[in-house]
Amino acid sequence: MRNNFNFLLIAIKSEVLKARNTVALWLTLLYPLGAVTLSMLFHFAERSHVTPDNIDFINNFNGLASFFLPFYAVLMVSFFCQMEHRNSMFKHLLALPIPRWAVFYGKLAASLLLLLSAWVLMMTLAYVSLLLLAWLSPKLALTSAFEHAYFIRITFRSFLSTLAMVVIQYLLSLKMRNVVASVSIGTSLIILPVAILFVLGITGLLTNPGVLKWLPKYDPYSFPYSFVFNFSTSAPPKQEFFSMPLAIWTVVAILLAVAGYYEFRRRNIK
Amino acid sequence: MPEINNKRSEYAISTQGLKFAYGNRPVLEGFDLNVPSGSIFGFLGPNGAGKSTTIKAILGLLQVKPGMVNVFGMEFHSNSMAILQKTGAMVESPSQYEHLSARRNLEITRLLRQLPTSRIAEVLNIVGLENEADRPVKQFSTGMKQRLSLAIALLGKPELLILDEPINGLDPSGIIEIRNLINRLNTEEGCTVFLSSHILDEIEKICSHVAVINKGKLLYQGDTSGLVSRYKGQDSLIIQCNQAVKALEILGSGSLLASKDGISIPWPGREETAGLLKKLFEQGIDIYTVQKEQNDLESSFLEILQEGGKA
Repeated sequence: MRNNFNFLLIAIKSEVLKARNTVALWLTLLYPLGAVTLSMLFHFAERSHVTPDNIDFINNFNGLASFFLPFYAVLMVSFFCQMEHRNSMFKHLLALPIPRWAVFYGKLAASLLLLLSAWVLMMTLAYVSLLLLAWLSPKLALTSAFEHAYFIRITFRSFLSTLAMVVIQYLLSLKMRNVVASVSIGTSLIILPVAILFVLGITGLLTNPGVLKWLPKYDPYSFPYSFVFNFSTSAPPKQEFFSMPLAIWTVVAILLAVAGYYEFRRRNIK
Repeated sequence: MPEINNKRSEYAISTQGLKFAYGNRPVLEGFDLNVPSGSIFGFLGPNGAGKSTTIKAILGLLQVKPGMVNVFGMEFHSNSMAILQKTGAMVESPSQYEHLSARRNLEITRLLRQLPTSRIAEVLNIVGLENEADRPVKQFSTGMKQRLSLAIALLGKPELLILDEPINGLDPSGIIEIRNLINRLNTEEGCTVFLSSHILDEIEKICSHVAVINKGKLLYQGDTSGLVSRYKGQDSLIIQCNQAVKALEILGSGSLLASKDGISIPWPGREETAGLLKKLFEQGIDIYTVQKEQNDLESSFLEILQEGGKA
């Protein structure tokens, strides 16, 4: 058991070493920076409507971050796997004295580690931006009523909701040598439910988008949007952390990660 | 992880009925390859013969069913970790992370092999890349990448070194260095070297044993000298002269070949050659050049491929 854990640990460490100077790492830095900058500008423009608990800021921030989150995750995972294909590294990695499962789960764990790093960086930058905004305008100063726990919880929930998508994209990217193909599939699946709503709306077939609010829940790629597209005016301002779809997609992610390994184990490295 | 038996098995690699197909296209047609321990084993074959596929099958990168691969006398699939611990490999084109430096590439493999950090400096020194270690690999020439791949393969002090086209892209001095390095690893450290190459001259210079493969079939395996001597009787004497047909009549043998420039006959031996030339000269034939066409690995290789094609 200890030996197995050691294998996994060195596989993750090696993935972290590889991440240097990669598109995946740059995206992990740029996505939080971009999301926080946009949110900061929006919050500053709306400074006259700020409430002490900053619930609107938190929900808007989460909405903005969640909008870019699936795109970031698809690109990050695809490019992180692409470096193995581009450099013909699988034949080297799998001829080393390390089990295939460690190579497979080490890379998946490193992808999730990058995702987690993006969240940690985003939260850090969000607080830095709030301090900066308070310095620019006293109206925006953080009060004791600010819902820190809620802020952390709902942004983390958005990241957690990408788990199934990350695993599917990981399996696709391991299979496809061409990064354009895996990115195209990923982004199409993100946009699809939004595009359906948009097309039905402009053609007049759908007058109330709320009737299709369930749509993103069935697509793991646009699932993060299901928390932020608020179609109902009577929705409560604070959202719950736990939801049944989140639990189901988390279980699906785990099952796919197990099934994906069995395919990878039997794969011929050409 | 099972330990490798200290007592050396007769063969470092041995395969039985090795078969593999990409879809419906068979690439390996079920052959038994035996690589003696301590040898430098050359693996020859034209493009698409199945050399790289064989190497991948030996390293467990391809699922070969049916067929069995034994390395160090152990069945590969149930002992893969122990076998790979003692095996260094370079498969097809150099595999490196081009966005990283040579040192970082070595660091990744060192980490995965759980070796001491000092090994990195040692292998960089062996392949002569110590001054280029911190440059990104994308700035490397093909030869430097080849050296780095070799350094990566050498990291684990392998008992078996599998090299797929190791001298591709190297300049003449690089080729000599690699040849000397392979010889040194073999003689001083007892490392078995299995190498595939298109460069027959190099195989002849360096390899104690050789195997020839074509269209997934093993056509020959054994001593390099054995392969050359197998066709020894077919060394030829080429005589360029002014009257080829008349020369043929004088020498009078059914196995002679004539063209407008001269004749080709099986090598008759030194003294006999002198006698034949004297005979032609006496009959008024002008002789321009006399040349013994020596049978070498290249001609043996071509003969074997032709025989294999007819079979």
